[in-house]
Amino acid sequence: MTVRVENVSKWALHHCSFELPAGSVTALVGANGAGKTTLLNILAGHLPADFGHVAVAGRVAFVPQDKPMYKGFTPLDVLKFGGHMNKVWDEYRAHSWLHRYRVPLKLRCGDLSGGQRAHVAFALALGSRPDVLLLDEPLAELDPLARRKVVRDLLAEVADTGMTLLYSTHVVAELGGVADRLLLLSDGKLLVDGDTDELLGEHLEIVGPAADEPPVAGEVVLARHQQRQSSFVVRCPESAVVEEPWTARPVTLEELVVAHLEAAA
Amino acid sequence: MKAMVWLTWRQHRWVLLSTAVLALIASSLLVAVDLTESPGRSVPLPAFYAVLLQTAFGAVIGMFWGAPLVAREFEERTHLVAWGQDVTPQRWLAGKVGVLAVFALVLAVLMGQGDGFRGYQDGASWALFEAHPLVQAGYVLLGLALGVLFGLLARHTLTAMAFTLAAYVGVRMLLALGWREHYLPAERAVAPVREAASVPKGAEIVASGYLGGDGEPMAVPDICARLSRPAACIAANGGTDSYVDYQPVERVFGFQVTEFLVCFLLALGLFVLAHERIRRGWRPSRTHRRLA
Amino acid sequence: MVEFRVDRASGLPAYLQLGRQVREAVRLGRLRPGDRLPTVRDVVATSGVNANTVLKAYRELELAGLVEARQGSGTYVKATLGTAAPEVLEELRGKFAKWVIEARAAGLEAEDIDALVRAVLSGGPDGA
Repeated sequence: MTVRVENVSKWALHHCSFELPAGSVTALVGANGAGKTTLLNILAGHLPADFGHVAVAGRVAFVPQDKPMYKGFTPLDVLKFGGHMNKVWDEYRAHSWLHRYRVPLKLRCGDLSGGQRAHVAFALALGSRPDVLLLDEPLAELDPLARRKVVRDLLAEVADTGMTLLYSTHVVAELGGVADRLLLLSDGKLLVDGDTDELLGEHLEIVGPAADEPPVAGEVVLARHQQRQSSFVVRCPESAVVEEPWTARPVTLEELVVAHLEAAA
Repeated sequence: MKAMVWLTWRQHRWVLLSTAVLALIASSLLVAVDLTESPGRSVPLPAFYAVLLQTAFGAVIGMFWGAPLVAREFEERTHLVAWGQDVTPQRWLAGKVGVLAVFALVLAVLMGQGDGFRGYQDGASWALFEAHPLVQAGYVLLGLALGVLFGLLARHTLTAMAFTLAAYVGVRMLLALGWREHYLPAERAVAPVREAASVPKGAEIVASGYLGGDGEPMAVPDICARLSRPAACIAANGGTDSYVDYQPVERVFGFQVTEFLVCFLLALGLFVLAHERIRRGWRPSRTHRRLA
Repeated sequence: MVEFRVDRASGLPAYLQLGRQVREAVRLGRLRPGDRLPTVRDVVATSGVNANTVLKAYRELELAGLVEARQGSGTYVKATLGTAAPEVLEELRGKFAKWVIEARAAGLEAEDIDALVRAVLSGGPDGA
């Protein structure tokens, strides 16, 4: 484990506990105000938890959602800053990220576009070769094409360096194959914490005649009843068998997240 | 250390340079203007501004170097960048304050060279008390420390600047009007009640009055206080001697050293407060407690 | 060579999608025994899939006996799938292509053809 959060409370967060294995990629999902940013700030060491304990093995890098950066610095200055301020610094890695996204190196950061500034922040974080990389909404101000590219490149960095990546996102539809793990926060409480593949395997949408209970044993995440039809999102063992007249189909990650959030609301 | 020198220079070079230019101009005026030979002439306006800058130099350093140091980082949220690297927030603070302090001390030496009135003078004088490198050094350290602490507490540059100015003026007035004359017990010159006690040349008079039969200063009776020549009245009311308490001119340097030490210790205390505040608020981000 | 595509919105876990694509490529003869699968790093860099997902897919294929990991050099296809030899497969494909042309001439859309094939495969009322 590289990240361990034990019973942490702060502001909106209530008694959150989870662990992240080394080299894993975890998506932190939840509505606005659910506590995602608070959680990331606590992990980054910028906020002390009111209660509970956080432990991180190794060096952390954190890129906040607004990508703050010294306005008067050029991207080259930022790289120099990274080199001066860190024990470990991979100039090549940082530099090639800026190069890949065609960030002008000699313009002041204050004159760069939002997306370019984001890339400067990513380059600084990656150049320091962190063991744990925390990104708050890294994809928020990127267009769909750039988003795909950034995700691909971030995953390649993870594959190259073996770092642990935890990032918060709203774009649940693009998580498939990207995130190993899903953390779902709602109102400061951790609703779901698990391996995305296992979660997908465990969740079924079962539709059939009106009934109070689904035909399989398991946790009912969400139940919808109409006059002659009931549908359930159920978390059950992968081996569960559904028989006529019920039909079952696997849910997508987005449906899974929405079902849990709807149930919690 | 090299890292913090680089960073401090990169981030603050413009304000450092402009302060340095200002200090150079002011100090050359302070040294150049000499009105001792032409009595009655008033101080030229540029020199007046230079004197003003000298009086307030610690406040200028505090407001323009100290207050924004942390407050601007909070305002721009770049503290998340600065304090998210391997250099811990405490070392960041110590490094920046250290580099700025060295730079400020150099400028303080410049600003302590003349008083804009008597030109460059070698000898000690109470009137020139603050126009001394050591005293100016104490003031800039005090101003810087005040600015940094208020910046850290207020997290807002303008607020921090206002608090820094107010606190600096308060401390300076307390020093100049309250504490300074008590750094050492005053010397006392005594003369018969009808004569004036003679005070050595250049001494700073702290107090004067009459001594009663017990040799202690006595309150001047109301009826005597109304008289233009109260001596006879005071003698009739039990006064035996007149006295003057003064600080001799030989003590000027000692007092300047004391004033520097007082400011230095105050500044050190304020810096420790700021350091502790940062240490408690921010765990060193990169060197978290290791997993068991 | 295979190029992986992951449907992120699918309910099917990504590693299963990757596994299915390798099987398909082997079935269609695009991958033959001895061919090397792309390295994990390559798959990550080209398809934006997590390295762990790729590893999981390769491990699952290995367990199924379809591929083998050779120390230090990569993952190679070991076995073929399906009983038909490549020549037979080619012949069947040709016949089917001819049939599709006929079907199109009869006014069938791709969707209709798809439904027809599925109905035949499931042995429904129109099939067998």
